[in-house]
Amino acid sequence: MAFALTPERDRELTEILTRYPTKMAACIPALHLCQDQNGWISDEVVDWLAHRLDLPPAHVKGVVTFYTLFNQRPVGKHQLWVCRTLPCALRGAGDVLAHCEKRLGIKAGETTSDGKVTLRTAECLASCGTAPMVQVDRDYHENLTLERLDQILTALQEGLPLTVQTPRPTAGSAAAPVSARPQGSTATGGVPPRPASNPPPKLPSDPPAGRAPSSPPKDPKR
Amino acid sequence: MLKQTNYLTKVYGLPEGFRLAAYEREARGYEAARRVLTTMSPADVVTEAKKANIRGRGGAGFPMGVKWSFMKPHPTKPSYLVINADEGEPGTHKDRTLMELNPHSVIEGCIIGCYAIGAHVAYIYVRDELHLSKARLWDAIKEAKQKGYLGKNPFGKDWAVDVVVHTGAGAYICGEETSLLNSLEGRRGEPRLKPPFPAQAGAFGAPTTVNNLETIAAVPTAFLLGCEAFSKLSSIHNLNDGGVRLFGVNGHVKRPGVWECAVGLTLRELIYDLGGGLLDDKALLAVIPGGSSTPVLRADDIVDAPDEKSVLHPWHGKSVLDVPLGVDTFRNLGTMLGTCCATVMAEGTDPVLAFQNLMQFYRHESCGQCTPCREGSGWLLRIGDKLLNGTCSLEELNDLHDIANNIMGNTICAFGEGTAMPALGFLKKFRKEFEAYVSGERKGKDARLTLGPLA
Repeated sequence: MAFALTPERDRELTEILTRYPTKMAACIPALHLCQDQNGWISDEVVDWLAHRLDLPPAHVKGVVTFYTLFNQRPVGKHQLWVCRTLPCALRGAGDVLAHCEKRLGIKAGETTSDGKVTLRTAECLASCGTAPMVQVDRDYHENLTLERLDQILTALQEGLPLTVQTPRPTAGSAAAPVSARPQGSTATGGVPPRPASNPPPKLPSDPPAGRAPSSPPKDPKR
Repeated sequence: MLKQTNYLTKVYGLPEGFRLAAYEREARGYEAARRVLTTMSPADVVTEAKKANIRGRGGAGFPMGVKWSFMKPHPTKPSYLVINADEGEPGTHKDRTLMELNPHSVIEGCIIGCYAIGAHVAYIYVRDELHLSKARLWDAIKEAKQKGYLGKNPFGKDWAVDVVVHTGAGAYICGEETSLLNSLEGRRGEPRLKPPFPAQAGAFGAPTTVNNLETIAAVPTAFLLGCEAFSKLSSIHNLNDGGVRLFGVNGHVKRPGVWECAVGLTLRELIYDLGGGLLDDKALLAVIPGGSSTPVLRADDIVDAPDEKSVLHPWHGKSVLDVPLGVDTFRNLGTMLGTCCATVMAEGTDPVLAFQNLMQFYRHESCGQCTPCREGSGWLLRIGDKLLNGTCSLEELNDLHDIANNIMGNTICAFGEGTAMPALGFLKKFRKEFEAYVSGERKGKDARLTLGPLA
């Protein structure tokens, strides 16, 4: 079946092309657009994009096979990535993966028979401070507990909407110690609150270049 | 010395703190860029930037100002600033906080950086998985454009500047600067031979500076305070390691997270004062100081620097946990500062299983271009597997040294060292545990990385 980007996505690609001095530089962003539409990068997609960007198909194919995130075969409706690298493993990534495999009845790398979920392991996803974690499609779910993981898996299996329970940084997200919030409301590993004895340093109101801040931060504990 | 600061992180906890309004109100956002563009020449900016002693925050620790000074205009080609936000080093989770919570510091840093090196475009290379980070950066760019801080006449200056977010597609190697440039150009992310260095022929064959995202985000603060004053915030300013930076801690600590402190913090302060100590109050076994490629340190390691000229002499005889986290101090300890995000392992963690876990990572992420790295990373993993299933002989264990040493120095990029160094580090620091697997005293089925089952 012939492939072509939808007019809307094609306009986006045209806009992307304006950002770079060469057409080739749009290759990876364009492949993401194609994959968003098609789910995976088939040979038809490669041929179409090569033509669109004036590149040899072999170049596009080479790029596709280099990068982990480009699917070279069809995948499930949702992709569930379990980070398995050391910092997550130290905090239970092994249990997370085992639980996913048990509940979905598949091994990492496989897709459920109903085509809903593809389970994969990921290498470090830069969420070490909020481990263990999984990525579902575009969203990170961090500071996982078994209970939360079960909610995620149920939502995926039953096609329910899945909200990111780790609230993204908004009001007062650093107002309590990270440890007090197992669901981790500091989305990115959080900057824990400053001890009361250590008031935040004020930036000088009018600093001529080369002058130290007017109230340097105090040394809190020693 | 523990000295928490909040220059970069002031807007972190605020409602809509990632918006331009909060950045301008709370952190005096874009004041530095305005002053730089309206009162300084590019050459002055580079001279001033050198005084900030910002050591590259991506792991190599190269002085940022010096890197900027390598940029010479090309007769026919434009220059580029490329920001490395391909955060993927296991144990590193700092850049993400900046992109999500303080994206405007990055944009402002890009404006100053571009001006200093004579570039009109900055590409921020963000790993594709970080969808929120990309969205926040794009939003910040849009806000800055609306205000006229980006575009044809930023701050009234007749000097155009633009910032573009570019995405990868899940390859750790693209955090290596030349590989990143290939990926930016739309190619396979295979590292390039150096020379030519990026400053001569980088992105699209043009002069290019590649800075880590946290490095560039620190630039506005440095210029706001005055670069020398910024540098002096550090307790190891005398070692040309200045300013403030983000420190992360993860693994077996009670309070994993990211903090902003003056440079010169010690691992003990990071683990116990900021990280809250170890889970279940266990004893500390080992710590990987700055991302998985930095060789592991044991809790009982002692600094051995009797030579008075040694950088480490002031800490001679003390625990490695009491050495300030600095580029030169940690290099002299036989490890590296890396990204300043420490991975903590408590007593009871199996070092051989940790080694094997990391070797899986390197096996998976080797780009395959150089034989020693492509094949060597596989060998290292296979020996790790054999150790765990009890079929590794002493000879094979000793082969680990040969394999690792034959990767080091024989590859195009530093990924080879990044694989071999932690392998040798684990073997050196935990030889007894490795041998216990050979003799059968330890068995893979008993090996644990966690302190208990997932709650």
